[in-house]
Amino acid sequence: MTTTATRPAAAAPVPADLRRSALPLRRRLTDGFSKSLMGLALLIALIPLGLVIYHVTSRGIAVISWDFLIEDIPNSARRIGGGMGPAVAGTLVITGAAAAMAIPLGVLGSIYLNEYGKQNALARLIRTMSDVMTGVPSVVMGLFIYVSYVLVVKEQSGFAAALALGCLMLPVIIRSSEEMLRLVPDELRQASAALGARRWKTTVSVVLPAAISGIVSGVMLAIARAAGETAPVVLVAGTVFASNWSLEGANTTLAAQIFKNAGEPFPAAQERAWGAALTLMVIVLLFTVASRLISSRFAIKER
Amino acid sequence: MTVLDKSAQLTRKDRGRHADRLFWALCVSAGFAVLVILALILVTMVKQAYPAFSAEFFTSSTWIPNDPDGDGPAKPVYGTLAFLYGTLVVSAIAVIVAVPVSVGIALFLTELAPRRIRTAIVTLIDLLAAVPSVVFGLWGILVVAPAMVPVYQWIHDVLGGVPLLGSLFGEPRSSGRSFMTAGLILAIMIVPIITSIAREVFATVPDSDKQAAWALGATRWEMIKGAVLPHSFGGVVGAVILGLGRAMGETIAVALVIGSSVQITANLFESGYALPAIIVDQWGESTGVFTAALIGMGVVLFVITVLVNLVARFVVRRAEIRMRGAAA
Amino acid sequence: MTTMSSDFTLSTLLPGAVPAMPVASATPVMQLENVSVFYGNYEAVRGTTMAVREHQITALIGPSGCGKSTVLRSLNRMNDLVAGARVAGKITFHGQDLYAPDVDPIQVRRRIGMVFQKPNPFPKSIYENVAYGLKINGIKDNMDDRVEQALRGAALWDEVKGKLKTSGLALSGGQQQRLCIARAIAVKPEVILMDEPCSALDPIATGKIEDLMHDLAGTYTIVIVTHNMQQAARVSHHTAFFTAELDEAGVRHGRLVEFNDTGRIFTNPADKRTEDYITGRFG
Repeated sequence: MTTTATRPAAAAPVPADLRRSALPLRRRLTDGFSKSLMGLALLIALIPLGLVIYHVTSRGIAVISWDFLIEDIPNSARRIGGGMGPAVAGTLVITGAAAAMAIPLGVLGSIYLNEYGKQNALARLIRTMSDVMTGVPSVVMGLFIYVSYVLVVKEQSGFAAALALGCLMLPVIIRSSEEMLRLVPDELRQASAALGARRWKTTVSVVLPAAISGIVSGVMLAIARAAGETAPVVLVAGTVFASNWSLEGANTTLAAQIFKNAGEPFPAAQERAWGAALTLMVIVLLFTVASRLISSRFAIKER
Repeated sequence: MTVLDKSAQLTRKDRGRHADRLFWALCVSAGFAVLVILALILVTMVKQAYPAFSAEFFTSSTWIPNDPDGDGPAKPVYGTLAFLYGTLVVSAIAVIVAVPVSVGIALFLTELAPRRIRTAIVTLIDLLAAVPSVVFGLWGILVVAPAMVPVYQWIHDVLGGVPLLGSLFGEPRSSGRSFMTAGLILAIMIVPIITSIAREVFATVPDSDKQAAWALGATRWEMIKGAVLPHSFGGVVGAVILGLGRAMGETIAVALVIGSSVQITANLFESGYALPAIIVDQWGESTGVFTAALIGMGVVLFVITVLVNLVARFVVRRAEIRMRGAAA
Repeated sequence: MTTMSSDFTLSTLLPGAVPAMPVASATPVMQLENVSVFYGNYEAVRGTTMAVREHQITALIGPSGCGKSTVLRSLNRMNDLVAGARVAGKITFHGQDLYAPDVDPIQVRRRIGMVFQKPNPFPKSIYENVAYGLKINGIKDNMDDRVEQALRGAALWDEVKGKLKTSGLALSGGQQQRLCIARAIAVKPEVILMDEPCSALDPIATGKIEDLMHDLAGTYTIVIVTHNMQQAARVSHHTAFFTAELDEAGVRHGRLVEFNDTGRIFTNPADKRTEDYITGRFG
């Protein structure tokens, strides 16, 4: 080890220039350029968002009024005036019914995945298939309900649309609820089991309440998405011009009305489309914001 | 009866066990619902679409669903190639535009933005995801399409003469409703999904790798290039495939802005058609084999999107496993 | 923590292994003057003054939570990457203030390299791992020679020369750590910071790395954080002993207790706390 003292000195210059300007220009430029590209990417995404919100708000606000929200839809697209009352009613009824069907099924399914199946083959299959089902296009779900329900009962109806939307919501709810159940600490389950509670009792009285805010938040997002779905409604709900607050018989939704009116060349129809779009956006945003509030306000303390 | 006490005990116990069983059965059937629905989709739709499946369904680009002028001998022709073509072109445009943007945003969020800005941006991107597709469609048909015409015209004027590019950027439609417009609108719609998966992927890059790059005097970009991107390639590919699946199935926005012309053309500024779009557009007018043909296209769409989704999940999972192997 | 008898001295630990270099003669490369490191409002380390001398090995020792790693990471501004981290006081490198506003941390890290606790080769080939630092620094000529030199410098060449294209992750833990050292020295830094480089390794691999440190000290200045006292005694010329203490308000801060030649610290510490720690009476 005595040789160490005679080793040559390191090659780095002394004293070194440590300033940013001493960094080769090429490296500085690449670094700066890549950072600005990332910023630009963000801008590219946010500009359309801003424009959509701006256009929907400014064109919609001119149309929208209390009357617009409750009046019947004119049965000729070129007629001026009228409102979106039936579509508002249909959106509420259909989305509500879809939620009523999909929520219990989805939550129970998520309980199976997280509390019973865990990593067994069936649970893994269901998990993968839920992911796949999330990717099934909404128009396909509409066709499916048409083929398997509308053709059987021989009637287009709000209920058929609710079935289709429910099928679309189901996998979303299963996966988001499972995620929330997984956050519930095992100690809670063990504590409950140690008190002699049965598995189902533990799940219903301890695990679910602990995860409820997260589950509700996920459900709200699913509802928001379903309310904006168009294709299945167009395929299976038929159409109406007067409000139909029941699940039986033909119905329509805001989304379906936007679609129908947007394609019309008449200004009156286009105006109704903008008004319906603003109404729909407000509904969707309310649910989205509520979901965020619930999840941040009542979040399970992670860890 | 001397055993009454004992049996009562037993019954109560049994009832408890029954409740447990019942609850379990409820949960399992709920889980099964997913499998049942998927299976039913395939079976019922294939059965219904069966009359429409023929060689020309898959090979012809001619679409004459009804006797066009009501007098001729014209036999209906259900060739779906033009719709398949439109779907592929539009999805390709969407992915090409959306991927760099999404990866850029994801990198910005994970590697560049301070935490406070990060939450705000994530909220905005979530907001973008929350806008219903029909609203994008409305905006696309009434605002974007007309506004893009001069842009398309300019691009055509500049690049129209170039041999290969010229055929892509031909004379634009005066309505602006075209493959390109549909692709751009779709791109906006799939940015949030690709961004959120890419973000998750980037977040799993081990900190030790980043530190190693920093300690060698890497700039931020060099650190990203050397430590973040190599680790995330598989995951990002998965994200892109998922985005592609979403783009191919998207119906309403495309139906509104693609222009509804049954044609196969290289000109991206021309109007065209897509599989989901034709289904919603002509649903109301269809009967018999015509309806079967539309359902048949639904089956095609279903099979494609399921395959794409499975492939994407497989790619992402394999990338995850490789990462875990590397970290161990 | 190994417990030791109270008559523990450097000579009993390592007979004949007292560092060869005359320790006081070397010039300081880095100086720390009253350095405190904050995370947000929390002062993790307070008031550290010491020097890092050229071509010698300086060890930072002390119990966990005493701030020795924090100090190490402030030497090449790796702490900049932690949100809210801030350094007060002055750290100089050849007389230049490392935290001066016009100093670029990237330039600092290029000259003051780092080896981490857990071996962290990139998921690339052995060759690419070593070449990475050269490439980002725009060095393209004689790449093969430079890679070979670095691997020889890290005493790894003979073990990997036939398989430079295989993944760095396929090596054993000790080899991976030497690969990381090769990666660090490929860019020819002046100072190498080592953050508990052997804590994840077995004794044989540890021995190899310690031998390597001795060799490297001829060319590079090394600062090593370790909580293995024998290791500090075996390899270092200077030792700084840190500990964690409660202040008046009951908040824990890391503190430099004593800084001296390693021989002095281990045979004749000036501070009672050092002696207690060295002899295993700590805590």
